[in-house]
Amino acid sequence: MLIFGQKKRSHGLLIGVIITVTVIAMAFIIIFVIKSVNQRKNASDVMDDARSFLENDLIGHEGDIVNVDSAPNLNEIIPTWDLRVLKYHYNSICTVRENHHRVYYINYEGTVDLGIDSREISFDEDDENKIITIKLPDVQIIQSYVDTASLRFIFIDDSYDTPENGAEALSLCQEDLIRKTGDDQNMLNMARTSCRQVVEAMLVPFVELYYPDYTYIIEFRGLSEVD
Amino acid sequence: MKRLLSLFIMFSLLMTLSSCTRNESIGNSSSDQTTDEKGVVETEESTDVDESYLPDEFRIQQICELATVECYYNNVAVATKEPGSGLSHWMEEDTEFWVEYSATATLGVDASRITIDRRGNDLYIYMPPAMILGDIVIDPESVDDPIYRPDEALRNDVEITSSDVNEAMDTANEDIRELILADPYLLESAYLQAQSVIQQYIDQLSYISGITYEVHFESLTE
Repeated sequence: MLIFGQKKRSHGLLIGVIITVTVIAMAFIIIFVIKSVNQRKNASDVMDDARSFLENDLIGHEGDIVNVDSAPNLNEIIPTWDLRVLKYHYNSICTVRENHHRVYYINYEGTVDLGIDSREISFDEDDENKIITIKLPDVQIIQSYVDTASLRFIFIDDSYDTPENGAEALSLCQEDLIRKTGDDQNMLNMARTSCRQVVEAMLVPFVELYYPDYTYIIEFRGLSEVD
Repeated sequence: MKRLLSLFIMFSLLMTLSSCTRNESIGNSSSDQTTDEKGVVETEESTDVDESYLPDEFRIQQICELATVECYYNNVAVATKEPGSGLSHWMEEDTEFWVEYSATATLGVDASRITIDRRGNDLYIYMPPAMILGDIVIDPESVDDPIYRPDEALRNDVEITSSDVNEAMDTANEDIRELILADPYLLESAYLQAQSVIQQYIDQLSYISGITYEVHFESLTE
């Protein structure tokens, strides 16, 4: 009995709130219409104003992010020797599930940089056949990363639209990108082709200075490719 | 009757007040990540994706970049989200949130612009200035949970969303970029490192050929 009484009161309260809000909203709309009529606006202007009022003042929208400040600290400087020859830009979707149910999607743009360690480029001289061989290490993925500005979310369950999930999103997309590109042999083959072209453009002028009468060959160590 | 009336009012109110942003269909998702009850993300192959969907888009760009220095930064993005407009955002206030993360900037030279000119026994090598290669890359594992004031029952709090966090970090990265461009030492280090890589090739060729040139490095202007 006590429970029934409490239910009845809460129903009444809910209906009261709904009616009050609806009346207020309708009052706004009526005032707005009267104002528009008094200003002698035509029908399309009234519709535009009504739409604008509904979208901006009733429904509204989220606020903007402003005043982003930061004071970065340089922790470490490390030398590197990467010769980057190919950028592979991906536009993909990462699906996030919980307990086997899809809860949200993240659309992202990622980039994979491919290249070689420039320290491992070496030269071999064959005086008998007058051939200079430029030996390269095989191409590898040097870096893969997700563009933070590119992330777009669609939440099946809005309760997952949280700052914590936003912070985790980059990590999820990064794993997705690595998994999709790790075994991509087409990408590696294209990188090898690009690498040969880059090395040819960059180093052959040097080779020709020291060996003007020789021909050159570019090959990857461990692969059977020969120019 | 009362129930019917209340349902009708609720329905019309929802139509008036709800903001709908329905996007187009998702398209394919050729891979899924699963988060179990403990929040651990597991990767699994999707079994219910239509393979005839458009594939992931990709674009290939040939480059010729000699990366010589990596700079590791720690940063805290301090951002403010303004209150929204509309009935559901009444009484909201500017809300600040912080995100700490680490990022890497790679410096180097555009090797496609390196040119050489031989004048007698002198070899002039013209190298472009060092620059930031690509984007400032955030280390995903380093991104901490954002810090913001907790929601209170009697206060209409601004909702910090997933997009807000990433937008703040992306904007804060511009500070890293400006810091690097304002530091001549960093770019000079990258330039000298690139020079040493080219010198290494010259030394190799000189050693095996027995030919020696007097090498001069010159900077190419922008």
